[in-house]
Amino acid sequence: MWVVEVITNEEEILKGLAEAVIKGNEEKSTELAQEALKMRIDPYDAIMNGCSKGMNVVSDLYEKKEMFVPEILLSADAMYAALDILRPHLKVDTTVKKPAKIVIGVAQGDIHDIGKNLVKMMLDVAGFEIVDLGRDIAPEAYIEKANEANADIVAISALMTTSMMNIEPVIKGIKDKNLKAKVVVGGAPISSEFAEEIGADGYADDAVSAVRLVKKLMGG
Amino acid sequence: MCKITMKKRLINALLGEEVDKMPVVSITQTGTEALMDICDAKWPEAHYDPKLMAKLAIAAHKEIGYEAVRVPYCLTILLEALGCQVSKGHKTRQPSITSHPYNSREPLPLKPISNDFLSKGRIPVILKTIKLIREEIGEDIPIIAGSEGPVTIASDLLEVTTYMKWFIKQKQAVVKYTNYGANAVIEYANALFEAGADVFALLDPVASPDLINPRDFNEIVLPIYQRMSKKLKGKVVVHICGDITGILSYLKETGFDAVSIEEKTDLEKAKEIFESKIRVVGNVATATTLFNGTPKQTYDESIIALNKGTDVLAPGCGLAPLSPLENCKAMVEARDDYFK
Ligand SMILES: [Zn+2]
Repeated sequence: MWVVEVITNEEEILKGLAEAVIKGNEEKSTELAQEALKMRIDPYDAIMNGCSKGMNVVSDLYEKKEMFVPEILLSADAMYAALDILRPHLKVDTTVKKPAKIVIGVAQGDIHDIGKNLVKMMLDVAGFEIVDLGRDIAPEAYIEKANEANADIVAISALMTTSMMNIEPVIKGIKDKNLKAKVVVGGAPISSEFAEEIGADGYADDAVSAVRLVKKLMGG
Repeated sequence: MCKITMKKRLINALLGEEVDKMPVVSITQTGTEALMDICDAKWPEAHYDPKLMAKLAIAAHKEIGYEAVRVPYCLTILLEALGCQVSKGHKTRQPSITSHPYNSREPLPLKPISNDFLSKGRIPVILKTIKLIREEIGEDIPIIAGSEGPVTIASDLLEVTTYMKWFIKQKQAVVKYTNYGANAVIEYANALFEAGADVFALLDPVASPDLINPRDFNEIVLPIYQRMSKKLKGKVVVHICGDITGILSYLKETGFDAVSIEEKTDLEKAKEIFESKIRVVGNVATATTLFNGTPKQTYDESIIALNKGTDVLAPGCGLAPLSPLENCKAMVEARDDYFK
């Protein structure tokens, strides 16, 4: 009987975590993450079967236009609150393949970063390692960071026709330097044709398809 | 129908009344590098000097053939007057907002809009520019003046992420801040009309379903737009970026004269929803076509927009500063051929 009860509680906590993320309830997700540690639930489990599961539902609802940016921002707060508590307790497992590393930022001349932040969050929860450069980032900074971090992907968003012009130099620089990073792009003024024209390795028109694209490029 | 002036043509089209041909104008920003070089009035100076601003605006009418003169070239005039800091940008980059005076975890009290509001920031520059343009072009050509709308203002006073979250956590504050933005717009737009503007372009990119839930748009933004439309003393075109299909039925009820749409919103669909209650302006793609495409593509897209029944042929959003002149001209050529 005792064993059964523990399992039920663990399930409840994971379910509760997912729900807190979906509802954007930061207090609840904080509380449940602490509870999970107290109950010695594997933090990896709590992240993958709690937070991530919740975030997957959020992505789905966003794609179906049943959830919008305000709700997603609150979900992100709830998710990061739980991750901040759980991550320091993750056991380092050397047998697991290292996650792909992604350098992300907003093109130079562009200060709009909501779209980039959504993509970052979805990639984060999908298990990728993210280096966030921020907004209004010069082409050289992407190249330097991609080199230094040995990045697998460089993701750049642009919200303006002026800033989208600053993506091509990044792609050129990465090719010239023979870095392994693939470059993916997105943002309102960018089309798949434009992405192809400047030599990008991929184009995504929203945060959910960005994750799909990155997974595809990483052979997953 | 006998020949009518460009001004009459635009006003009639915005009212849904008969015209000899659909007007071709830009409701959104018209400053391009090509025009700056031709008329020798360049950004960033043309954002600050009435003479240069007027010169560049008139160039879009004279060189491209757009049937209106449109000012200014940014979405920072009201925000600056309300206390945001602005970076000037450069020749091909628009000014942008760099500080958010009310950014805080909890709502801060708003400073009342002062009696001398119309003398703040660059508002006097714009009012002067409109007068200069009118002197130069005479009475027959319409002047369009635009500004950022209440949702965009509130989002920049606060910082957009905070503003977004408050749609759920602090609804009353969102209503308060957005109404505050609306009050500033009303006072400013009526001053623009008084200075000689014929059409006011209300640009509210942050009100897009890309960011805001259409349900919230209906509940919070629509009543504010309706209040504005009762107070604005001239023709009003509202422009919202992105795919705004989800809020077309609400925009129909605003009381404004027309809605300016991007190519991401289907023009036929907009016409169908609007019936004869409000007009459509648009929607040649600014990034893929006018900026990155060819004159032929621009021409074809203009014909499609006319076929779909646009009431005013116009770029779908602000012209990209590096748009080739030939592309912009192809819009006018297409319109002329269409009504030959
Ligand atoms: Zn737009």
